[in-house]
Amino acid sequence: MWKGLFLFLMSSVLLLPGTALGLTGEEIIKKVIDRETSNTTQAKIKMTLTDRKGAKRVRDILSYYKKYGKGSKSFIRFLSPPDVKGMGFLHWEQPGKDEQFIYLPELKRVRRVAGGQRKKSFFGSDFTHQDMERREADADNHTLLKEESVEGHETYVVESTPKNVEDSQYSKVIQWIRKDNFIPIKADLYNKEGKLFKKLTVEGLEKNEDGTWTVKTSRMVNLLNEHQTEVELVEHTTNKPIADSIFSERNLAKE
Amino acid sequence: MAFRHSQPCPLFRALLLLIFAQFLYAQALADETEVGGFLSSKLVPLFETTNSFQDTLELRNKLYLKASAQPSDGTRLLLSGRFEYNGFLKGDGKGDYNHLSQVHEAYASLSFQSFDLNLGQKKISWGKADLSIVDNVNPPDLTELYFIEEEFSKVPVPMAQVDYFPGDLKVEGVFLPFFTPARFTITGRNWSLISPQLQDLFAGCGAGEAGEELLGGDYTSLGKIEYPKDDIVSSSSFGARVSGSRGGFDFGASYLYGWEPLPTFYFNPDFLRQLRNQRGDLFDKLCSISALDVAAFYPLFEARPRRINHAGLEFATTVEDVGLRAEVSGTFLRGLMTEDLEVVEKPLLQWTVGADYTFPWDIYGNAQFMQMIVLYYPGDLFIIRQVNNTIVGYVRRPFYNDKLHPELRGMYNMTQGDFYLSFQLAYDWTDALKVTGAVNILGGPWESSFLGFYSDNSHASLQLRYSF
Repeated sequence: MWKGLFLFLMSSVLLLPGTALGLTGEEIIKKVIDRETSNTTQAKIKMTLTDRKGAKRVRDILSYYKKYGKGSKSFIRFLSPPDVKGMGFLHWEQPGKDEQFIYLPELKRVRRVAGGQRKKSFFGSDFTHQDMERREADADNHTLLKEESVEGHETYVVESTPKNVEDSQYSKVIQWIRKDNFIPIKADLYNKEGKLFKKLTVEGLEKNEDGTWTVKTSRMVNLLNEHQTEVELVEHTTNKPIADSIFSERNLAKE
Repeated sequence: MAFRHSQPCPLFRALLLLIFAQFLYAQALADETEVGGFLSSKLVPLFETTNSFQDTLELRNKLYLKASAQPSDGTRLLLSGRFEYNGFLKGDGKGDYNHLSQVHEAYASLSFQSFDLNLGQKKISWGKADLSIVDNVNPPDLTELYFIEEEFSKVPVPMAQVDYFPGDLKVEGVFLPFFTPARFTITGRNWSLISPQLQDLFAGCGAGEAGEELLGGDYTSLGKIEYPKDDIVSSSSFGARVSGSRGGFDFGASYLYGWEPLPTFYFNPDFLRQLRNQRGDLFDKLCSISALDVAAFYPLFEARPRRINHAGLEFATTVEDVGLRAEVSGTFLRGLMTEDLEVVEKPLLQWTVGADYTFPWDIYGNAQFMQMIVLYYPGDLFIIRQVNNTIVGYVRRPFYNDKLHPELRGMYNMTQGDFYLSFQLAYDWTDALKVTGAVNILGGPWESSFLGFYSDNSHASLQLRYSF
């Protein structure tokens, strides 16, 4: 359904020649997932939280991502603000298995995170921990609703609903996926009551020298509380070697 | 009574200076030296003043400074300092204050291919449970009992620590060359070992006159505390721990040859003989001995920390959306006090199991059960029974996009019936400024439970904390 904030933001996507014709919703979503060709990504991310009164809070994050076969590992370290600086997350993901750890600097302790916390907000942002996880295409039913032009780009509009409603925080996600590169540039997310409550938009797509594409900025708006989160890729490198040791508890516990 | 400061030996002071000098050198070299910390002020009024030994109002001001530098790949230096200026208003209307300025952590961390070496004064954390029974390397700071900032709940200790990483495992060795005492006061403050309630009791009974000296903070006229000498042979501790994660399970095993967290009080044998001849419960007996007699028993007590062996096992996993943690620990031997104030040595077995879960509406709950078993129970221990059960837990839920944090926290000793219940409301005014209000209620049988001794200390608190 929704393949994950950081995967989405940090993915570099190969430009496909031409457009696919006669695709089903499921085939389109599989192409979205399959086009994530970056084996590694290292990024500095600036996350800006804005409330309904316009007050802003900023989190600076250092992030690493690496594919391991059908799975992946990611590591996040907070650089600011001061009260969460040094806090780290480690995420090991394999099909059907998921492990997350958090490092709490004030306690100097690495702690395994239970699955239920994945649906919680990621440090006050409008993204949840689950938004950061890869979601397999066959976890949802996908329907191609229509084709539509968005800001000059032809898109597939695909609706995804979870096969197991308990398995997802959303009852439905509708994505606008560009036909030329299979990047979602817009998404509407519906809560369990079926009400539209979050909208995601992508505001910057940059083509890399190797022909891949990178999403530079995206914004998630919570329509219910008028809170929004902007995630900006400040620096990033893709497909550069990242040592396995980055994704270890040893590294997690180093502030 | 003022804070007790540990007095590091010249060798250790030289080591700290060396780290400090290295830090300055690293500062000159490093592209980025990170400096941070917080400034906080906490006002703590008691709900009710029941005796003149209580601090009816506390104002605790803290400055915590932390700087780190990375002069080269694999080398990291950290230096932090803790500064306090605290004011107290006693029940009789008199003011009092204490202050503290000390190095908190100061260590160098060197990383190699398969191991890390840490040298200096630092804190380490063992165990998986939220309230760990195997985390005994650093002594506790009890100056505010359970209501101290997490950063200061443990006292940093001079140590050499090696972490070796063979594959997925972590093999940890730690050597503590010197003894470092827990932070506490015997009398004089609300959270002293002898609580204001007990001080008031003693002041009002026959032992009052002698007790006044004790209660005034000058316990030296009655007894003495003896800490180990600052030589490596007599005061050092060491330990080892193996831990890892495999197949969705975290596990660990540890051993520590260390010190009991608090000194054991050994009372004068002549005094104990006279005590045994009195009638009633312990407090009746204590009050029936005259002040003159008490003075004749000098030293009434000798308090000294005891050597201890800790062995522990730890475990954590998740089952569906539930986090599970468990620990088992054995302590050989623990000094325990009888109802006649004699000290007996008994092995302790402790185990704990805890779980956490996020309920609908983002409500996070965490509960933990703890059991302490005194092996070869002598039948007459003061407060402690053969099997002692305690439950702790907390519930919290963030509001307003993680800016408002209400939390309900509690501990209940099922054996003795004492408890504390805490409701806290924290608001992130900005990313840097946090305002926290809390109501902390303590209760239990005053004569036969640990928290019961502090049941007159229920209080509110309001804290401003600016992080930078």
